[in-house]
Amino acid sequence: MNTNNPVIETKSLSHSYNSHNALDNLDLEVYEGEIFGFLGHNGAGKTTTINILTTLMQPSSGTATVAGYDTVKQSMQVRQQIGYLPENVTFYNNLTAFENLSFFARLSGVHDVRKHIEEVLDFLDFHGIENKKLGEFSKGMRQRIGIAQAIIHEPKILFLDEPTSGLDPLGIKNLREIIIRLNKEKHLTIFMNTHLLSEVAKTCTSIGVLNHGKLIYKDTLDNTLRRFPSEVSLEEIYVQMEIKSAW
Amino acid sequence: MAKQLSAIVANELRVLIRERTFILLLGVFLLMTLFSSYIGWTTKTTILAIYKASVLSLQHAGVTQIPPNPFIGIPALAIFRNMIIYIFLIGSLMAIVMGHRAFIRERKSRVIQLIFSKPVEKKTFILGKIIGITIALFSIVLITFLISVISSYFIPHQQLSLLETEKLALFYFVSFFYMLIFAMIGLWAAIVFDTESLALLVPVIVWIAVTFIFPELTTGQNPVALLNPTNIAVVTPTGPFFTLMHTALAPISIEQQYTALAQSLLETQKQFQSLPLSTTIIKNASSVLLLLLYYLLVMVLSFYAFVRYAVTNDKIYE
Amino acid sequence: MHSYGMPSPMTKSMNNRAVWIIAKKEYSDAIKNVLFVTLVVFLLFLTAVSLLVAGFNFQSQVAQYNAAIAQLHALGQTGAVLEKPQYFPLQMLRGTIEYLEIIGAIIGIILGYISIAKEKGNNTLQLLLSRPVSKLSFIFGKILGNSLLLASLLGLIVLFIMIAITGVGHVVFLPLELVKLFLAFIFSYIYLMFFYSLSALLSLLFKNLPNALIVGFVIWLLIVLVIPQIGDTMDPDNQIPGGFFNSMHMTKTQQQGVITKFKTYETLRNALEESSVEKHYERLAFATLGIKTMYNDKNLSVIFQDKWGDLVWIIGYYTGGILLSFAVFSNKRILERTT
Repeated sequence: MNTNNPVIETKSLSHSYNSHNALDNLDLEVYEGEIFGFLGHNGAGKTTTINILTTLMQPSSGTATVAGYDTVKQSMQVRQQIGYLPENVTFYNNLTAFENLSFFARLSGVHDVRKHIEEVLDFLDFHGIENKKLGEFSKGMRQRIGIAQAIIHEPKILFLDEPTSGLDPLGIKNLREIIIRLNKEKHLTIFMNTHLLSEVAKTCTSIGVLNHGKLIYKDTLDNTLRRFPSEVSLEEIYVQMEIKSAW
Repeated sequence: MAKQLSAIVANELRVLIRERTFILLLGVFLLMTLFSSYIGWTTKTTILAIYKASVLSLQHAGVTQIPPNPFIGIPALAIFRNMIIYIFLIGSLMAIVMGHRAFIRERKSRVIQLIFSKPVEKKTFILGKIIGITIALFSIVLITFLISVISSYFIPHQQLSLLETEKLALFYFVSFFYMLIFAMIGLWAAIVFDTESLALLVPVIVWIAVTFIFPELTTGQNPVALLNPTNIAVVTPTGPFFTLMHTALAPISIEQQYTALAQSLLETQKQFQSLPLSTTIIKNASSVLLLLLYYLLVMVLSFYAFVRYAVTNDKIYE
Repeated sequence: MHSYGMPSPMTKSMNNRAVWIIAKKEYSDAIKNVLFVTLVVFLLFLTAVSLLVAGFNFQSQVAQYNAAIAQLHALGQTGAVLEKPQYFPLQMLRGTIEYLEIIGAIIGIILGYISIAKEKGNNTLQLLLSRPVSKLSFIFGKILGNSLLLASLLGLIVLFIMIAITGVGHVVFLPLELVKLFLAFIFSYIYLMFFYSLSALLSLLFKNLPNALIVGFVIWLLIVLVIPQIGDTMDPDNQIPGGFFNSMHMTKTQQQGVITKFKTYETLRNALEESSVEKHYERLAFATLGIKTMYNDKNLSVIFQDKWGDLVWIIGYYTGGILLSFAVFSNKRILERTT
């Protein structure tokens, strides 16, 4: 399935804050068309990785390329190719959904902003909210606006940081369906940080596990499930990996 | 880039006019502008009437040598002199809040991370913010100027001559720069400090220093007395201390630079009356240059503070 | 000693122990707060500046007096017509009082803000109220804690003044002067506490906390700086250097006769001044400290005969502020808005 080129590639990527290694020689490849689930405990370095890949942060050493562009030297080209939804963004509460989206669309250099917004909201099946202020939105609705701004310029790769955090079960289900449709219908490669294993099992095609800044596991979901006896849940596999790496 | 810049500017203005705190401050400021014309007018008419009543009272007491009317020939522009104080009290505080909100907003909502995941250069963003604040302040000042001009039409014997209108316009233009300096300080503090209340308090402390402490140290006047536009009776104290303070602080005491310039433009004293515009500017050239210099300084400061700012820094405490 | 482990059966009414615990926490939280400490240091610095400026100002007056006398002597005249500037230590405090009016009020606002914001921001308000602590104990604890805090702050300033005037200036305070200084301390406490309760009130009412702070600043701007300034500007006697009536060579009774003809104008001007708590505090403090020269060296009875109205006003503002915050705090609906 993943025989084509990696669209995300890091080589010995490291990052440290005040002598604490948040990322330690990370080598990672994510292939076109994958939904990659990046697992790890809080503070493992997942957000740091996403920050570097989305060019918001520069690594202390090592390199990363996204869609063939270097994240440091060609950050603007990288940004043309990606969409990003950070954790807990609240947007401009005093602006309407349309005004919020049109701002981000303009920043991405989208022509014919209105048409794009209509298309995206149509795709997300999100109607009648254009003129409502974001301040009145529920967390789930905000998250959909978040996805809308991330895909409005038709990027190749979508980065999501803990997209399900704070959502209720129905919101989680809706988001999962959107992610899978984006992958199938719009052919987006998706990179998502999460610590919800059940989500990974239902959404992702491949997984990686990060522990204290080091990649301790990476394979496709199918292989992972095949490698372990069928009665073992993904949760148990994950716990085993965490324990092993702790030793 | 031009397209992104205009998107950022337009967005800044749109968000600003929907913020309640800003609207509150703007409302107070515009109301005080209107009120200052009223105060100027009612005070002027009352004191002229008081003079007449005093003359009658003195004549009644048999006094023959009646002193001349000290209010005769008060320049028409002088009724706006309270505006000087409202600019450096309310206007600059409003400007601080504008600059503060301009960055805290994106920072707290983490929109900043969204913005920089789009192909936007840091310089474009901060330039957009600065231009947005500048346009907003300029529009506000334009409105206050129009309020002053229109209100003067309704005051009897207050029609402004062309020169007076020009001086009033220049006064507001100078005030615009003065407020812009504080807006930039507010912006700078919002970028540099990680606590929201500290980011607001530090510019307020700068504001207090400039508005009260520096003038007190150079003139020996107490802080509240400095707010009286009519208080021109004070004798500046002498001695090595005040001479030293004056030499050291005069260049950085921007409120005094602003007030000196504003007073001559608004003809608060008879000696300023009917001076041509060019003479007024030349006489206050150092103040004009200093205000411009400080504006450039704080603008460049906030510009580079942002260029060095880590967009992933999502620490901000209330 | 208190017995531990036994919950008080009277949770609805005040509980002294709970009040004291809350008060102590208010105190220790505030002195660890960067914002508060910054402002306190700033206020002490301003006190030093104002004393310094007052001192140099006096020196300059003496120098000008001596120069004038020398000039008169050189012309063969006595200097008897000139009044020798006299040193009254309490009169040096004008700038200090004015800074308390301005910065002291900001400190009150910041204290009120952090006192409520810290509970609302971390949702500890609900936590606290789920304990057997009555609302009455809670609010009294807050008021007690912040009163002690403001008293310590003002105590520090008085100490500072004593050191500056007695220690550096070698001037000894008379017993009456000490009493007056103490009274000014009490008035300042009342004034600052009003701003505390105002800001606590706003912080309780506003959903968005930083907005409460900004609105607090706007009110502060209006009552501390703008309204008194308007009153001053409108004063007809204030329009020309040396005073208008002086320049007309009019007697006090003649002035009064003229002023009564402009009653509405004067009433308007007066109403503006009366509406500002700052003006009442200023009148009271200036009279007590003799900064208003007609009250200098006067007995307290003389001063209070004239100024009791201002005292009633500031006490009224103080109790009004506290009662109103209590009313808001007791209102369930408003508290529910905090989550």
